[in-house]
Amino acid sequence: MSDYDDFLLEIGCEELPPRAQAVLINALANGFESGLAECGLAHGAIHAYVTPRRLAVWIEQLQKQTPKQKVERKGPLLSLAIDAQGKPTPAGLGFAKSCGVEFASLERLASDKGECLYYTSEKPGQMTAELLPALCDKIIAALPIPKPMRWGDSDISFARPVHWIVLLFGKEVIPAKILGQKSNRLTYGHRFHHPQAIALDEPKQYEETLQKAYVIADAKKRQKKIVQGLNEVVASVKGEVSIHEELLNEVTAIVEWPVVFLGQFDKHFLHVPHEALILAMQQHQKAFYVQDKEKKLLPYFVGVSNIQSGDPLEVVRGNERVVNARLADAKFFFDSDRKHSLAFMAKRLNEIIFYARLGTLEDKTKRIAVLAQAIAKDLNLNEENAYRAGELCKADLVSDMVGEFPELQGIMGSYYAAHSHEASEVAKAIAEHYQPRFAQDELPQSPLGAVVAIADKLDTLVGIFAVGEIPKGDKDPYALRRLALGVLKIIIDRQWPLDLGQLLQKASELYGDKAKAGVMQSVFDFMMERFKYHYIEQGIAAEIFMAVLAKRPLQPYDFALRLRAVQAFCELPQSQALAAANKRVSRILEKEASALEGQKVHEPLLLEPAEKALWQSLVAKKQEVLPLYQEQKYEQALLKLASLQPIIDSFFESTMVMAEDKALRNNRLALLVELRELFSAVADLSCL
Amino acid sequence: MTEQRLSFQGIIQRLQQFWQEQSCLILQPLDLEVGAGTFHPQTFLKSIGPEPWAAVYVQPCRRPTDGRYGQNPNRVQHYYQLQVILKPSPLNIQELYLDSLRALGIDPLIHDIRFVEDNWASPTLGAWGLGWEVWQDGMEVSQFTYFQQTGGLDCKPVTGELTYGLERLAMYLQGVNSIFDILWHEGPSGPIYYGDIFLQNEEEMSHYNFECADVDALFKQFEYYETEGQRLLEMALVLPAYEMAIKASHVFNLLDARHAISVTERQGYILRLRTLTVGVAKRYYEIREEQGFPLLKGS
Repeated sequence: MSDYDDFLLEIGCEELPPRAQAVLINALANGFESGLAECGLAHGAIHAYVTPRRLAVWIEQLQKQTPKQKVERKGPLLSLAIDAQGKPTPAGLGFAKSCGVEFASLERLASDKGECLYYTSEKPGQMTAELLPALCDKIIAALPIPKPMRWGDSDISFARPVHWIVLLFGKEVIPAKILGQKSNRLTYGHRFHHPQAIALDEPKQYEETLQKAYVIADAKKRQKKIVQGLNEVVASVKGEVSIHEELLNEVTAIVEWPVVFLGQFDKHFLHVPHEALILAMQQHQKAFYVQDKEKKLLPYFVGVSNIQSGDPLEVVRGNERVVNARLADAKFFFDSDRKHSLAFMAKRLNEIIFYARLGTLEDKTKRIAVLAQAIAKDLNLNEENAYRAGELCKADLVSDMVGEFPELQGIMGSYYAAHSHEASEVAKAIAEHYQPRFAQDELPQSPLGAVVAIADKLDTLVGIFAVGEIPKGDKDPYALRRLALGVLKIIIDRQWPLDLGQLLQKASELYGDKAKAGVMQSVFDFMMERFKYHYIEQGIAAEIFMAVLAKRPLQPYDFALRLRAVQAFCELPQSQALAAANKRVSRILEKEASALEGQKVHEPLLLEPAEKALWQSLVAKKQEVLPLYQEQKYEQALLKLASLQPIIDSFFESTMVMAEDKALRNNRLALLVELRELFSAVADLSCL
Repeated sequence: MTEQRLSFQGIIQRLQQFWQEQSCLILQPLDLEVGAGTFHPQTFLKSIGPEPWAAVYVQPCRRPTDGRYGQNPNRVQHYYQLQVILKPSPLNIQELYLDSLRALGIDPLIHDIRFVEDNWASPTLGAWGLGWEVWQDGMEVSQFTYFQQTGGLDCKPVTGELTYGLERLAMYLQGVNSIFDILWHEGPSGPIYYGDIFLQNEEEMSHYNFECADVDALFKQFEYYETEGQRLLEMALVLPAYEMAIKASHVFNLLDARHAISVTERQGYILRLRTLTVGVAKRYYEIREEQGFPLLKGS
């Protein structure tokens, strides 16, 4: 008899939500991993299986019994446990009683305070089979079910109704009642191909047995089969299937026996914007779209069914009918939307509230237009087109197509703009102005798209801050964090010399008295905070960011250049010594602020060679560095300054700044002021 | 199955027959405009409280915004649902449902039948549930929901609701691509199609819903039905109060089709409807409780 046996738990249920499956099975496997560790039970590999109708865990070589445990207890000191007559005291007897033994059988143990009573015994191991029902209950109760439900007349809740429980340890069923079902060795195959019960003899048969019953229990294997099928079926039409990962995961989670098929749709739908066709196929039909080698959409789709159909053509024809109907719907929206110009749609924006106290979307687009125009003016871009794009950028929100597919906002507007003979620059800007829509999304490609994107985002930031809906914790319903970072990323990407202070000023003015005076500052600070986290995530030290922020550069691009420069500076060998020197300078100057009014360095008063050398170097470096500052070549400037390090160090080593002679002292302080000004033009290096 | 094409009325008959054999009462439609069979008091109110219930009925539904002037083969503003209510939901409810498809001649070893997650919520009814859309070869032919709450009250026991989209099912079974081509019945004087009966209705009602409905009058009606509903509720006349909620809900849908309600206002209207239906649900429960939950007898 081995000391180990395989274990299997299977929870059979009605079709589980796809997103919940991965979460549940991971939690189940991890639950066993840690639960068994807590019991001190050794085991081999844990295999996790999930399909729409089952969650299962097969654990190899699980120890049958928990290890014996040595129980050890120290009792009172002998001086307290035994009286003068050598008889046990009540304290001594009490200890014996609490250990469940006679006093005489207690041992003695030396301790640093003297000998004490001592009890040891060995607790036998517990049978794993007896522990398992409670352990399963505990693990299942802790599963993170996104939306638990009840069914029938019972109080049990789970992700979906539970139909059977397999609970095997070796060849034995462990009797238990889990989620309302009595444990058994009976599992069930595919809903239609193998609805009959199958008796499992032992855990290791699980996967193979189900395979014969038309169930691929391992999600990874199922997915692999799907991917293989996808690629196979498109080969016949010389196409390439576009595998959208999220869709692939979803499809894997709604079949137990995937059968991939190719369907066709009516070619004339290809005149409808492909974004809409793709969404209709992916979202509504959970089907994959097909492209040719040049990435042009082909009139095919690939579906994944859950049946080895007795008449596969029936399945294909049925799906084709549905896809054609879906696409007909999209075409209907596209055709009916185009009966009106985009400008006409824009007029209906006055029916849609942007935010209760901030007016309608029409009001918003008017603000965006004015702001976009102002930005375009600053950048010498086409002001008229900027205004127009701003005015029209939200118009597609009233279109039927966007009503059906909200993801197409902006994209449809762009199509309709082109159809309404708007300038192509305007159409492109409309398509791009929502970007970046998520963390890794692309930034607008066209300059005007970038302008409108900035204007729209700043308008939302100022407006929502004005009504006090400032993001807190995970509450950011208007995605202001993303908007804030989006604005900064766009400006930096474009290398535009835009002044954030001025932009916010303008955006606030457009709200009139709705945006109070302090709003601008709060938005600015909020944006800087996002900026900071963004850079920290990219591995830039917070103090580097703070060093630049201390200078409050208002142009985000300029900010980014300074940041890069300081980061490079920090990697120089001299940087630590220089940062220390700057700290020292700051401390000294802070204390002596009053003495510094209008002080200039008088060369005749420079006595020590070290201070003379420093002054000469400063004058020389200033000549070199000031033009670099003006050209925003901060990195080069700091590199040049770094060479001052030995001169500065020897100055501090040999010169007494706080000389007794007031004139000397003030002159040296003035020298330090010069030093600080030269160094801190890029960033406050004393923060480092 | 195409040999003896199952007619639209044939489908209804078979489904009713099937569910009658599963001990369901065959009930009749509600004589008010509703957006879904769930609004029928035989679903909404019966799902409240401990009393068991099992019923099947056809419910004509109106969704003014879905009108397409009879031009779209798949969307209409008036259509039929066949609704099955099983309370408490039996453990074999999925099997029963699949048997009902078999009764229609649908072989699940030929067709791809799938239960695809679809969680249902009706903010207007203060109701939500979990379940699926049932797909047949990629077409949604039914909705399957385990009610968790109705009228803001926890469902105990849980009601299982099966809703067949009859037109979708018929299109599928008859192999036609347009709702209007569905064979309603083949009588001695030849076939009668869905379009023969409803095409003109779709055209005219779409015009009415989208263009002609009197917005000002509808707003007044909404106010009236809401106030009247609250007044009746205070008098403990829950069924009349519930009818007012249903009427207000339809008026709201018409206003929606006329684009007369902005996105933000929408929430406000839905909340007002919800307040009324939740009030109805609560009062209904109390009244049934006072009566000792009469349908519990014998169970």
